[in-house]
Amino acid sequence: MSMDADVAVAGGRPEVPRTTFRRTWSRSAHSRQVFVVVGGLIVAVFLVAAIAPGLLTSHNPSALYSGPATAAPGSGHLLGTDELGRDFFARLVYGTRSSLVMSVLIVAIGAVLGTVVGVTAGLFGGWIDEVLMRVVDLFLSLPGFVLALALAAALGRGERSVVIALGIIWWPGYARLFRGMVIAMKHRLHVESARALGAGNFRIARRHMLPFMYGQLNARITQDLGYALVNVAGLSFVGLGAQPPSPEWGSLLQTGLQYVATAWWLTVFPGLAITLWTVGIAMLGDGLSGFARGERLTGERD
Amino acid sequence: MLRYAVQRIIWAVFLMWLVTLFTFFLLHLIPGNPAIVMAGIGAKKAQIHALEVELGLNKPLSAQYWEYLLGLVQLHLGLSAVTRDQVSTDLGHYLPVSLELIVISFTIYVVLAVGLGAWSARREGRVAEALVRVSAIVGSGMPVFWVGAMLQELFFARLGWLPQGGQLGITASGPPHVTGVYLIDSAIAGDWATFGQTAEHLVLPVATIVIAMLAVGLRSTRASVFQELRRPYVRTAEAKGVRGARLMVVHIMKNALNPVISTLSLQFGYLLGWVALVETVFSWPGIGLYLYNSIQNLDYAPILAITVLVSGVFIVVNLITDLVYPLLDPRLRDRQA
Repeated sequence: MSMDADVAVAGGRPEVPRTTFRRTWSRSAHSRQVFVVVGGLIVAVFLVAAIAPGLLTSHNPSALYSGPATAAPGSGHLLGTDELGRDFFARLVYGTRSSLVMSVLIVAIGAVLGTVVGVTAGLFGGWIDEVLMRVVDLFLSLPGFVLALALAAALGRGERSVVIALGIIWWPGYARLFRGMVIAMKHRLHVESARALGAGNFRIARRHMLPFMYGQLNARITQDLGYALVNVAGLSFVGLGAQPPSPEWGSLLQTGLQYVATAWWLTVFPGLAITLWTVGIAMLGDGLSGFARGERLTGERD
Repeated sequence: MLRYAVQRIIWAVFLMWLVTLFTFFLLHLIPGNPAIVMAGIGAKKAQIHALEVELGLNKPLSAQYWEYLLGLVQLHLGLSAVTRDQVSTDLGHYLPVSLELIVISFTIYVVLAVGLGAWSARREGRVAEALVRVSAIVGSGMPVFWVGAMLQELFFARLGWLPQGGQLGITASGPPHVTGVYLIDSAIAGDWATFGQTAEHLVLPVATIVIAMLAVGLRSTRASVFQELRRPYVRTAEAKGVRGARLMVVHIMKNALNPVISTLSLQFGYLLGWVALVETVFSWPGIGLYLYNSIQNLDYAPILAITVLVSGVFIVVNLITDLVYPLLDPRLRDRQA
């Protein structure tokens, strides 16, 4: 960040565009690549666990082993056994799918709804924009997690309720992001050319705007996949999401909490799994958003 | 300014109204009817029927909603199936307990986030930057209840320095009731042993909340102060001999605080949701734990009442921020007048 210091000392006129460009450039050399590689590796391992858990563990997640319940890690069970004597590593691995699928669905609902609302608001402008953005404001002025909790409770326990409840509170961020991007792009030369050639709003959005947005959208989605999982785990933790004996991470944590003093591995590892996934995917997203910025820079030359 | 204030107040009332509409909708979404829900588990047919008549479930929805709204205003929130009490009585009991936790942890969080953020903004360099970035990523990636569980693991199970949870030791009884906030009540009674015990029980939950939120607020403050540092007025002030804390607080903070405050208010919203999780981990007997227990039994009257209450707190706090902030920053006053 030495160039920022230079500018600060030089005071007077901060050369913002140049600095931003140089900062992006210098970051790309090291941290971004490291972020993408490390994040990508972590995410890959989790994806394997979600798709083919059998590859990572030979134990059955619901088999009761005859040894002592809550055996410490090591001794034939990598992460020990849980309160009923089930292999804990296997439970964590098999819990990946449920946790990941729920967060993917939530982010998908949020991204689709948000994109439609944001692009509509940005393209049409006027009163449509005003109304839609007011609705977005409204969602952002309420404590989302609490409302999702109440909604999930009213819908009844289970994974479906959690996905619906969190999906509904998830879209406003995307709407804001897309509206901003559409408005920024509205008067670009190629968009105005397309309009001059008679292209309609839908065609302009799909053919002339969305291709430029994929970068930022991807970055946002990857990051959100992590936060969605934290929220899913939170709802499961209070007993609304996946129900036992499902080894979803939030409910594993809830059970583990009763054994804090006697079996530390039952709380340490599920939380570690959630944190690792979130950090891995955030690193991937952070790294990718750098590339997205680069893409936008090239895009601006048209 | 007056027009702006009226606008904000109307917006807040509108939001509150929407929340009641939402909970009313949920009340009808729940399987079974509200009378069964409100009468509680194990209620007799006659009781349910009486409640049905009392609730006017045969009337049109609009009339029902109107009565629901009137009930809320008069604090008729239904019966809890678990505690067998009026939900409003329960809430009155649990609210101060939660406020104690929320106010203390949020205050510490704000002081630390703004203080450390401002401090770190003056320390440029790759290492500081990377540290803040990484801790923000990790900090927002750790589930808050897991942070709590880990602190419990370390300071209770391993080191034995701090209690696992609760508000007081098992054998102790609370101070004479004045406000319901144990720290204040015990101080009023001059009962410093109870005061100390409450403080001791507060350490871990408060630390949990602060740790889980700190990185985000710190990063936002740092970014905002960092931008301000390059502005000409900072150089002018420095040239005139203003330095250190005075430069930061009087000159820079005044300008840098705007984006920070919006981050903080967003964080406050998260906190209100997280309190349920933190209270559950530490058996802190506030609204969050009440909510948790109600969810375990799908006891809807308290769940919906808490939703209205917590949303209300959030809306009011945001309203106050909206109203106070232009008083601090005249530029906003002009823009919004």
